[in-house]
This record gives sequence, C-alpha cells and structure tokens, in this order.
Amino acid sequence: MKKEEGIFSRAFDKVRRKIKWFFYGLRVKIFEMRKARRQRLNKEEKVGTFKSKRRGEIIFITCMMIYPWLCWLVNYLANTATSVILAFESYDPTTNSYYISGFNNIVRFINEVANDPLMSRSLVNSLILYGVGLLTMPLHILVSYTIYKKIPGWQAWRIILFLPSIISSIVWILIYRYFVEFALPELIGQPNMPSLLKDGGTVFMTLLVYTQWLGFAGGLVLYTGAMSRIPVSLVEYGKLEGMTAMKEFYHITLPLIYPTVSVMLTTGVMGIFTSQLPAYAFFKSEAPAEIYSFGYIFFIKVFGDNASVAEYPYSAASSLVFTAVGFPLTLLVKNLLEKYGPNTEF
Amino acid sequence: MKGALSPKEKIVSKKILAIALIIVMGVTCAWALVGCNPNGDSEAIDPNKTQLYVAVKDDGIGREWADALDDAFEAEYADWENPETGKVGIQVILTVKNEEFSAQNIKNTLSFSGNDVYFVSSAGSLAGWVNENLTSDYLLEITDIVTEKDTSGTDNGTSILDRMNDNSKKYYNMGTTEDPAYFGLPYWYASKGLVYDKDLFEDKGFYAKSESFPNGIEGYIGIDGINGTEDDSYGPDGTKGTPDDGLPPTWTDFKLLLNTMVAKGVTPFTWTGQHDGYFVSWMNQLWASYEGAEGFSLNITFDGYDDQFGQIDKHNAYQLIGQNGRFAALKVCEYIVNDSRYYTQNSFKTAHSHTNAQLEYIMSAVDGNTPIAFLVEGGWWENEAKGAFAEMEAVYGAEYGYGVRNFGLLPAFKFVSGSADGIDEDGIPDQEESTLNEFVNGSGVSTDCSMAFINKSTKVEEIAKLFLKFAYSSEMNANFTSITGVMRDFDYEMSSEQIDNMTKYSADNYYYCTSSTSKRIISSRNPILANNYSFFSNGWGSFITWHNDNRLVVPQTAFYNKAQNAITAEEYFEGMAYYYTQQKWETSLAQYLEG
Repeated sequence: MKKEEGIFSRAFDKVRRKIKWFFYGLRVKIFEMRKARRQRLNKEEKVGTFKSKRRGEIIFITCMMIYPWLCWLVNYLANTATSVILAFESYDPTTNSYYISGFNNIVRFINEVANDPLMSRSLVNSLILYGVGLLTMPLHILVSYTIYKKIPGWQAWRIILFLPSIISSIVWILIYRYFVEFALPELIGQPNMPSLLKDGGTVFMTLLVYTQWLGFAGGLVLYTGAMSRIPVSLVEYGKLEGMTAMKEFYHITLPLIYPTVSVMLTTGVMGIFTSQLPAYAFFKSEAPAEIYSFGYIFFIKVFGDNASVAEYPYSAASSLVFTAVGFPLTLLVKNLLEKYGPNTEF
Repeated sequence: MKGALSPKEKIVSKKILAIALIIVMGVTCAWALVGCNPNGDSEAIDPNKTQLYVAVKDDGIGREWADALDDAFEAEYADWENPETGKVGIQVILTVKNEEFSAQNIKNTLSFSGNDVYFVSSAGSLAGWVNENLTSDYLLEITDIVTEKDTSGTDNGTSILDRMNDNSKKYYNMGTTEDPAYFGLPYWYASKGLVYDKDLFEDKGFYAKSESFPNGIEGYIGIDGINGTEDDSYGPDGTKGTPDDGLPPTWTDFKLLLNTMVAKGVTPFTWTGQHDGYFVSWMNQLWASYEGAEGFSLNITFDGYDDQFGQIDKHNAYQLIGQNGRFAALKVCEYIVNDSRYYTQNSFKTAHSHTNAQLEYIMSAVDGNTPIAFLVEGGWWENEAKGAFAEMEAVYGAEYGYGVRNFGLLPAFKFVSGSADGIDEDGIPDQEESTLNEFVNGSGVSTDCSMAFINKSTKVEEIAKLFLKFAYSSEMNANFTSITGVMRDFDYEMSSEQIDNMTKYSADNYYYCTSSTSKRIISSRNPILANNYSFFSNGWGSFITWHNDNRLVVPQTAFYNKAQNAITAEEYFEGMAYYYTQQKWETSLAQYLEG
C-alpha cells in the first residue's frame, strides 16, 4: 500500500501545486492589472486637471481681452479703414454726404505743400520740431543718467522733472502763460515788453521751451527704467577697472540702453507729421501762423471752432501721404540704427 | 513661524483682495457711466407729468431766460392732458451747456440724445441741416406752427412768420414765399462793438460840448464834417435827442476823444488778448458801418451795386476785398495799436481772457485804479460778467453791482473828413452819404446761423411744437430780451417797465437794434460761400493778409509788433488781396461760376 500511497500523494501534490501556482499566477496577473490600471488612472487624472486648468485660463484671458479687442477693432481698424476710403472722397453739403472723387485730395495736398507758403512753413516747422527733439535727446539721456547715478539732490531733481506729467497740462499752460507774460517781464526789468506769446518772432521759441521742459518726464521714465536694468556686476566691474562716471556712461550705460534709444528714434519719425507744440492748448484755433505745423493744421481742420466736415476727406488724404512718406522713412531709420548701433543684450 | 499666514489664510486674503479690487474697479467704471446723463441737469422726474427735454447753448447769455421760459410754459400748460398716457401737465427739463453743444456734436448725438428742443447759437450753415429736397435727418419741419395765426393774447391774428423780420425770413425759409418751409427759427443776436462807461464820460467831460454838457469836448466836426455846426454833439446818427448824443460822430472826432482821455489820465481801451476775434469783430462793425448794410451785404450775396466797384455779381465779387471800409477799419486799428497809451498792457497778453478783460474794465472804476473808458465786447457781456459784478458788490458796495452802473453801447463812428478832396489825414476816403444814417449790426460775413429747432427724433412732437410756439410769442421774446439784453429777430414790443428793468447797456442795445436807422446784416445761404469754406476762410469775412511770406491773421497783433514786422495798414490791406485775386477766384470757384 505504501507504494500506492506514494503515487497518489505525489500526483495529488503535483495537482495541488499546479492549482496553487495557477491561482498564484492569476493573483499576480490581477495585481499587475490593477497596478497598471491605477497608474493609468493617476496619469489621466493629472492630464484632466491640466486640461481643465488650461481651459479656464483661456476663458479668462478671452473675457479680459474682448473689450480691448473690440476697442481696437472699432477705434483703430474700422477708423483706419474708413479714413482710407474717406481720403478718396469729397463732401457734398447739399446732401450732407460724401462721394468718391478719386485722387483730388492727394493732388490738392501736394499742390498746397508746393505752392502755399503756409503749408511750406508748416513743413519747415514740423522738421524743426523733430530736429529739436533729436538734439535734446542726449540731454534727456544725460539727465536720466545723473538721476540713475543718484547724484546729490537727485530726488528733488526727479520730482521737479516728473511734476509736469503728474499735474494737468492745462494747469501748466496757465502757469507758463502767466509766468511768461507777467512774471518774466518783471524779473528781467522790462515790464512793458511785448508778450512773448503774442510776438510772432518769439512765440515759436517760447512754446518750444515749454515743450522741451514738459517733455523731460517721458524720457526720464524710459531711460531710467532701461538704466536700472543694467546688471550691477557690470557697474561694479567698471568701478574696479577705475572707470569714471562718464566712461561708465559711454562704455556701459549707453550701449546697454541703446535698444530703448533706438525705439525712441524710430517711433519719433512719425512725430514729424503729428507734433504741434501745444498750439491748440494755448491758442485753440487761433494760433499765429508762425507756429503752424502739419499736426496743428490738420487738427484744427477736424476739431474746434473752424473745423468742418468738408475738410475730413482732405485731412484723411494728408494722413495717407504722411504714411506713405513716414513708413519707409521709419523703416530706414530702424535699419540704420540696427546696422550701425551696438549689438548688445543682457 | 509666528505671524506668518497659513496657506488657507493666504488664499482667503487673496480672495478678499481680489473682491476689493473688483469693487473698486466697478465703482470707478460706474462713476463714468453715471456721469453720462445726457438729459437734464439734476431735476427729479415727475411721473405724473409728460416730460419735454430742452437743450440750451449758453454762450454767455446765461440760463435765467430759459428758467423763466420753463416756468411760464409749465404754468401755461399745467392742465394739458396727454392723450396717450392721460398724464396732466408738462415738465420741462433743461440742459444748459456751452462747448458741448457745438453744431457737430449735436448732429452726432441727435438721434439718441433724448433732447426734444434745441436752442443753439453757431449752428453752422442751415444747408448742413436740411438738404435741397427739403428733407432733414436732424430737424422736424415746423412750418405749421410758424405760419399758424394765434387766436388770442397780444399776438392775436399774427403768426410767428408775420412777426419775423425780413432778413431772417430770407435765411430760414427753405421753401418759397408762397410755399414756405421752416425747420428752425432764429435764436438770438447781439450787437458787437464798444462798451463805454457813461458815468466816466459824465465825470470827465468826454461828451461833446453842448447845452447838456457845457464842459464837454470842443472841436468835433460832426457828420457834416464842419466844426462849429449843430451836429457836432448829435452823435454818429446826426440826430438830436437820441442815445448817441455827445458821442464822437466821426473818426476824426474819435481821435480827439482818445487824446482827451489820455490827457485826463484815462486809458481808453481794454480788450481780451486771448480771443483776438473780439477786436476783429469791432473792426468788422466799422467796416460794415462804412459800407452800409447794402454794401457790406454784397460780401455775402455777391449780388448788387457797390459804390466803389459798380455792379457786383459772382464773377467779379473778388473785387470786394478792396472795399474802402476794410481799409478804414485797418487804419483805425493801426492808429490805436501804435500808441500804447490807448490801451492797457493786458490787452496784448494771451492770459487776458474775455472775462479777465471784463473784470479789469469794471474794476477800473474803483478808486486808485486807472479808469478805462471802453471795453471791446459783445452785447451779452453783462450777463457773462454777473459773477464779477457780484464780487465787486460784495467788496465795494451795492453801487458796483450788476445793472447799477451806467454802461452804454458806443455806435460805430462815421468816416467823414470834411476835407475838400474827401480824404482824411489817414488816407481814408469819406464814406457815402447814404450810409451815414445807418446803424449797422449783424453777424458779419457768414453763412452761420443761430437756431431753435425740434429734434426729428422727438417722441413728444405735439408738446415740442407747443413749446417752440410759446417760446416765440411776442411776450416771451420781450421777456428774453429783458433778461438777457440780447435780441430776437422778430417784431415785438417791450413795455416801459421791462425796459426800465433792463440794464442801461441793454436798453441802449435794444434802442439801436430796433430804431428806424438800424440795419441788420444777416447770414446768407449763398451756396458759393457755404460750399467753399476753406477758400473763404482766408480773410473774406475777417482781416487776414499775406506779407513777406508771412500769413498774418490778426491785424492788431501785426501792428503791435510793428517794430519787428514793420507792417503798415496799407501793406496789410494790399496783402489781403493775395488770397482773392481774379485768377484764384476763377480757379477755386470754377464750378459755381458757370452761367
């Protein structure tokens, strides 16, 4: 019997072992399946969270941008499109409407610039304004540098130069007007001198001084902002090398703020056609001819006491001409600045 | 760490900050939106009445007249029942503004402004509101109320049209005499010129010597050009017993007056240096007075006879730039400006606004100040200066208050030399005798108009028409003038009580504008003028010249800077023709000159 018991027990053990291993394998497989599923679920959960987050961001940004986009569409795109069309139209007062008249307005503009001394003077004044802006730019940069370097009294100096941009320009105009016409004559001992704002020989210069004084604040913000980004390590290195302030300005500061300077120069080109001193603020539509510029002439054609809807097409046409001239000029200036300027990045 | 926020606290504080920011931004935006209330000042709406929204452009005449009209109309129609809603009574809601009610602004906002009736000065050319087919996107046709005869009261049997003066009929009637078409009514007009201080004239003896003023100025020549005759003291109209008696009749006499003033320590003039148009308006007045109403109107109509150039039509009207009246006005300006004793230094300062000039003028009567005789202003100036009068009254006493002092309107003097060749020492030819008895006043060379009209988009058409008809009754017209001192271009009587209640200056203004010698220049719908604004804005209706490649727009400044610019009145006059040569006229106006 022992021999027979051994066969059965061995067979039984064998079967039992097989079953056992079968179920064990099953358990392992189940375990692995569950593990894989768990890992897969975790991964999906992470992706789902990321997607819903991204969707929320997109919705938020879209909602925030709808209004600016609408403003741009209406105030810029639609405005520009209608202005371009208007440039080729003329006004019919009997029907209070505009009709297509081809290139009449552009021809008129070219004729007037060539033949009307007032327009020629406006062109000259506009170029002078731009030129003065170019000439005073180094002064703006130098003043910004002194504030950046925190020379003694720099805080007071900064406040004084920033004040014009904090207080309403109308207030400054009043102050300047009274200063020039009442205070200045007393200060220089000429109480009966003609008003510098009434005298055709001095009004342009008087307003130029006003513009330059008020213009400091804008440049100050940009240049000091650019200068403050200069790595301190460079500055310290310069000090260790024994650089003076002016050498530092020339070798470090100026090259590193060059991108800001070139942006100012590039965007300033179109200012030839738009700047008008503060002629309208001082004189409304009655400015003396000596301070006429393109910006002023075409501003009073569409706004103010002497404005007329009949002049809208002509003004629109002049804008096209300005764009045609100013756009390539701007590109040229930009390319020249990029080509010949220092190539710096930090 | 102690004091540091827990993550939960950080989240909560961020949320609080975000909510606070949203509230602040919302309030900021809402503020701007709330501010945009186009209708009504701050009057509460009466839900039991029907509202009528009325917009008024102030322009210096104030709002008192509009408030009075508002009250009178509401009282008159207190029992009026709205057939649609059954509401009884009408509530008039006024919006009184100035710069915001420019013609273009109004046109742009008319369809949604909510205002039913408008009173606007400087509305631009009427052709810009009503097209040639007599349709308008802006204005409701009001021919029915203009032509309808009243059936009661002082206007019984007459219509607004009957009471309207002829010149205004020519302008505002868009139809024909037989078939009129009205879309607007004239709002107001005022004379422009010199204000003079009557008390100062009496105190200092600035009137011409006469029985009434034995200590007056001797040496006037009068409009007959001869010194020592009776008319020396009759003033510019040459008639005794009129308000201008004792005033300088001619330019020669005016120069004598100026020198007398200076000798007695009085500064003759002040004017605003900020708004050059005031002085130019006075020059226009002198030009119009020289040419007479008919001669001056040629500059607007291009149709008629000119004593200097003969028959004028649209082909040869460019010659009118050489009218002697322009030259005369330039010589007057040059004479005054070249002598700094004749005006205050502030007159040439851009900081010297019209209100500053008013204040300087009325303050000059205070002891210790140099008296000033003339202020160059418009007929509305006293209304505009009410604040200054009130301040003076508070400081210096009731005798300096509004309406108490004696101001008058100095009518334009005539240009009569009495010389054998008919040319005075300044080179000004004598003006035509036929023009000597006219008092010319008006809007100058203009296609512009002042206008009262009904918004085409109104939802209360019936009430709006009732209101406008009421506003243009003789009673309301008289009331308007008695309050503002400026005129309506209609035929209406003012009671002696109303005239007594007006200021002395307003009473003068009323006299000159309604006297039999008064000739009003009215704007024109001349299409050549209206459709070529750019061409005619180079001095056709004002004084602009070209000299040495320089465009000079203000004669008083050009002569003031004589030391620098060395320009004379003759050169200025010559340069005015630069813009209006025959060649330029024919080239610029070619399409209108056919036929």
